[in-house]
Amino acid sequence: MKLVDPTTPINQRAWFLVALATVVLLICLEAPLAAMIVRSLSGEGGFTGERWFVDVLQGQGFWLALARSLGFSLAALLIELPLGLWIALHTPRRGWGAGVSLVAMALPLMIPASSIGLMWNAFAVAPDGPLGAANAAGDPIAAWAMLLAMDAWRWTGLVALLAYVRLGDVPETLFLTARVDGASGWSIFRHVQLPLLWRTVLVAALIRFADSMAAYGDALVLNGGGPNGSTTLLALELRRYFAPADLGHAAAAGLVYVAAMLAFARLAFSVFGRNRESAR
Amino acid sequence: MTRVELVKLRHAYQTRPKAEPVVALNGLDQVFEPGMAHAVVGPEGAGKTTLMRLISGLMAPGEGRIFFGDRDVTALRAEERSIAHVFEAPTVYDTMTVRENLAFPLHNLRLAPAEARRRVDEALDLLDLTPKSGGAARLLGPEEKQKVAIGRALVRGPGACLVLDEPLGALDPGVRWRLLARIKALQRRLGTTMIYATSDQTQALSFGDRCIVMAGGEILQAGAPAELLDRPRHTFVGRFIGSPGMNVLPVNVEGASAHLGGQVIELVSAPNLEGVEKLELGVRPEHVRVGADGLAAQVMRVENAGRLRIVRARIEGHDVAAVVQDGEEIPAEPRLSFDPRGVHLYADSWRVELGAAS
Repeated sequence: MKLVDPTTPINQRAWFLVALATVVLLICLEAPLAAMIVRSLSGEGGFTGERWFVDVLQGQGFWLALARSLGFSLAALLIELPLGLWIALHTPRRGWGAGVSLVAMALPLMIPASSIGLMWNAFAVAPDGPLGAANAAGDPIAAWAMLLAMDAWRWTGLVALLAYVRLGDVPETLFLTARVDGASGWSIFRHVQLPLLWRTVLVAALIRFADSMAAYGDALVLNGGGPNGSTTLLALELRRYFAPADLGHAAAAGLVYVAAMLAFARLAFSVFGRNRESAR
Repeated sequence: MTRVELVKLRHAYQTRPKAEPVVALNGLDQVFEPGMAHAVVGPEGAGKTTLMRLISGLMAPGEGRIFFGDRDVTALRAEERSIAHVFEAPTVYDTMTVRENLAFPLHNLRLAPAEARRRVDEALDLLDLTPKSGGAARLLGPEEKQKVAIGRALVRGPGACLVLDEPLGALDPGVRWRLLARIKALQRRLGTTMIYATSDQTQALSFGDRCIVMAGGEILQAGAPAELLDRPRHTFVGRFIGSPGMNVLPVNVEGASAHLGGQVIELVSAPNLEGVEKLELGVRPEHVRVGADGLAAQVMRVENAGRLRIVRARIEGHDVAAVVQDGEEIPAEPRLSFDPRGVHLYADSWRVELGAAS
């Protein structure tokens, strides 16, 4: 099938514009990564080859931290996705209630990370705070519970907002039709709303997964990764590799981290994507 | 086949907390006979959509009662009424197949799978949707989506009532008549009680065994299409139904003569008009003859409407339309005369019975 008349010379000048954009994009996105790759392959004595990577992959700390981060992310997703959906489904669409609800959802997202740390420190870590008795600084279970509570407090609103916007796109007549068709509340959710929200859930899950895997500040202000390293998430672990003379080690760990994240994202897409097909 | 009855149905919307409520329906009494095609017709804002949603149970009426057969359903929610509602916007469950769309109401009724399957197959067949039954509903065009919406009513069996609120509004004109004919044929064949709301009088007249004309939240007339055309009870009905609508001319009446400016139109009998403020004469364009005798008129223009021509004329400053058959001569100095059988007198907009000849 020829759509272009072969006798017409194709104007190739557009490539110039595309090339320019590509170069800018590469510099912006990939240059820091390239610098990191160079770092990860070199040390004080020059080229070091795979040495830093071997160090990272053979060290126990990295794998433990990765496992902790994965556990943390999954737990956060299990809390935040259902809770966010539930909030979105029950948020008023009209009237003053809608405005108040939206502000309430967005409020935690607008507070700077440092203030959040301060806030939760005063709330939950300081012995005289309302939750100080839980001893989040000393008890690993309390520390984990607090960490998850902080994450959910801060990010559930984002999930709820995404779902709320998606639900707003759905014509009212669809829900009215479902009611006339005798669908119960659960049936409407299971057969009408959830299939429509599936994409949104996937996007929210990816955002939250990436964010929570990279979570750093909350655990740092809570107890610096303690007690006994039980809340040392991946990002906190990576920080320990930083040393003025030792940047290659940290760079290699960072690259392994990026590779792991890409693998997870790929996995998530294929799993969620398949589910969505079968949901039709 | 369900008989639907409205008793003193009234509904108003509170638009703002302290504002006066806007009345959408003002005390309707109406019976929708079972197994018939009913068309509810009226302009935008007549209260049609409110009425349709009250019948479906999507809203609760402010006052009055709704009966399905002998059952008072006023307090029942939509899902308890065995009804299906087709909206103007073609609405299907995007994430389901065509078959799953039709099966959904039955799934919710917990019907045995074999029976559900049989009914869905039957509805798919009636609507010619069988070849598409396995495909995603969201990929259908608007006409087929509306068919799916209708199918969700058909699977419930002939006992269900089908409410259609401007169902052809989102379709292309060419497709509209095809689907309208299809809906009508299904109604005939299955005997489902259908209530069809539209602002298009042509759709209403071709769909309805009975047409209910609404304006301003009230029913002005309910009857067979021929009745609405031959004896409009209200000047609004005369003007709204029929194309072109009825001519309405202000007159004074003395005895059996109506005076229009300096001209006189004889009535078949002398009406009793005590306490009437406004008198009007109504005559459909089909009953206006253009010829050598009658009232002096100026012809403004002549429109071609297929085999007919519509003469737009003025009598004493009032617009009058007349329908002239193709091939009929229009004289150089035409005069208009009214067929006495088609002349109606309206007192304060309501028709006055003039006796046998009218």
